[in-house]
Amino acid sequence: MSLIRANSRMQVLTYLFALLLGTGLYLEFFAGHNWNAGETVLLFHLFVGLIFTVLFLVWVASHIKQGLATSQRKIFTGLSWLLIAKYILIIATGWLMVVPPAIYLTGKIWFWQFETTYLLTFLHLWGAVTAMIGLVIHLGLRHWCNPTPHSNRGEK
Amino acid sequence: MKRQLKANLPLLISGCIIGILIVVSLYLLRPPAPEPGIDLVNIPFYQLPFGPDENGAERPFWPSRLQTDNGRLVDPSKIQSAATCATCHQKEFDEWAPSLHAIAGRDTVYERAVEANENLHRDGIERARFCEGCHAPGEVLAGRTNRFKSVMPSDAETEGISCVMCHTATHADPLEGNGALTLAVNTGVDQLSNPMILAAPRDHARAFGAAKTNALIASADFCGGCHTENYDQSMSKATTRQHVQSTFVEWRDSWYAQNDITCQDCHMAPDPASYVRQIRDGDIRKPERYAHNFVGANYLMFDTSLGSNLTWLRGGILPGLTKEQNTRLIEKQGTATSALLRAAAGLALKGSHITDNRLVFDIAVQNLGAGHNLPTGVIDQKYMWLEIVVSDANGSVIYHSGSFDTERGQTDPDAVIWREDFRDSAGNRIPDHLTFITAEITHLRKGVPPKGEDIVTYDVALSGDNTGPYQITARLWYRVATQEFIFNTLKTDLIVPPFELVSATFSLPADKKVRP
Repeated sequence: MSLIRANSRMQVLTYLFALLLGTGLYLEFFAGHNWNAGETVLLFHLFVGLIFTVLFLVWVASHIKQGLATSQRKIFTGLSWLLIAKYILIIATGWLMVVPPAIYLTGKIWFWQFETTYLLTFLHLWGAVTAMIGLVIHLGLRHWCNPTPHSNRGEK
Repeated sequence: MKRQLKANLPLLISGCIIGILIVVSLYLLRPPAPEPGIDLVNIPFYQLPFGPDENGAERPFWPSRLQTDNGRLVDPSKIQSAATCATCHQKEFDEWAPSLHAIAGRDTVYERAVEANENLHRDGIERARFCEGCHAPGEVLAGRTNRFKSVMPSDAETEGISCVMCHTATHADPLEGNGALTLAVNTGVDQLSNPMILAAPRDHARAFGAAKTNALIASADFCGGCHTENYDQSMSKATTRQHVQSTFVEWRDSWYAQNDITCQDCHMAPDPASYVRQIRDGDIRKPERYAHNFVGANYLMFDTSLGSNLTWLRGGILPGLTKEQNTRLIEKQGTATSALLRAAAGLALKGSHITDNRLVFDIAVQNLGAGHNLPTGVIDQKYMWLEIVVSDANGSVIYHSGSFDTERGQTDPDAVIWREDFRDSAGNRIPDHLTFITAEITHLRKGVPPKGEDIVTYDVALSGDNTGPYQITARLWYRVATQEFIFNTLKTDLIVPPFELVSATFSLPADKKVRP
């Protein structure tokens, strides 16, 4: 029943993020077994990443406005901003890595220095792994204050 | 549990599980990929005159010891051309394109020498796999070293030792040599499209630069796979193993190997001559980067004064280069080659005495900068000699050894020469690099070992008219081919100019002046 109650856009985002993380981990650790099969996974990863970016940016704006405004705990607020920063980092590094193929499709060749590519990949991959952990914490942490003995506030 | 976590945790978990299931299912359900490479039976009329190895396995590349990692031949259309690599790796391509590695399989001197060898034997073309394994590995691996050319050509096959021929290596045997390299050219490379390579360049780098490959190609062992050459009955008339090229062993036993100064350090330094002089000065730090020029000793292939003859000697212009680019890159490489050669050797007067009618002196020919013998490699055509001119106080030349006839391209036959000779079964010298009839290798004088010297004693007769002080002018010359080899092989009267490695003047008795 909780599945039904959850915001449907958030569900899609959660699902897409899980897929992106799974395919990303595959590319990092398993693509070496078959470089050519890795191309399909990479294409899928890029496609899902594009959709995720659009949906996430639209959703997160309203979520900050409605969700974070109601946070009653500093630690929750701080961690939430950190989580948003992580997602922005993942999206930004992902897009930066897409710049060279995008330029190639316009008929020109340009690419990042190899060291830059390593840095972008590192930030993208491990940012995503920590974002997944952060997301679970974010979802698990309460954002309301514990009710005082005489109060009846808070969610159940 | 908080309701948001309750709602999303199953999604996260199921997303991950489904993602894993999709990948695993695709892996399990996809049709099995065909084994990369080409099976021997699919190369029509491919001849195997040497039979199987001791385990009964076919030896498609023998007498070259070159191997593919899965034992199969290579589809020529799948070998990446260096010109394709240049799409992104332009700098590396520009460094490699003028190099001897790039033209190893197409330079006319080599091609004609191979043809001459092929014509010596019924199985000559198959025997030529011995040469092509190192000079044109793409040709051998694709099965084109066959009397019936039943495999289509490709750009990559004409590029000699191209990018993939090093960047897919997984094993090398520097002591066996004769091309003892294993290349994962069938399995270790990706066939990703350019946009995908650009999207995930690290994957491309990991495919071409697996840690094992990177470590191997940075080692001298890798170079030794080809820069060790031995003749046996598979490709020659030798009844015992004859060491034709021992460059790896020369290095292995040297001060350079003891100090971890490898082939790559000198020959792939951005400025090899400066690096060699740095080593000579005792600074053994590694170069700041490794360039792909592979600067060597063959100055002839960079002599732009030869004009169109140079293009002919180099076997034309490589795919991916314009004529102007080609000339510019060759000139630059030629400058580096000359500088490297001049950093290699030294001359010193070691001792002398003058009697009433004799002038006796010792000239030391020193290997100051080469991490292998000087000269090294296959030196039946390449050779080094010492020219000595002694003049008296009046400037009259009283002794001259080692002159070079620029009209006929001949070196004084009585000169002190460092060269090896190929000899046939009757013991006669073979001047034309005819490997397939060579039975024995002898040396006029072996190359000077690294950090070593070879002392040559001269005994000059003096007449009563000669008065000192005497001036000795010593010149150490290097030449990449004997004139008879050039004439017999190329059927041309092109005079191959010699290269002065070092010269020095000494006064006897008294002071010493050295002109490096």
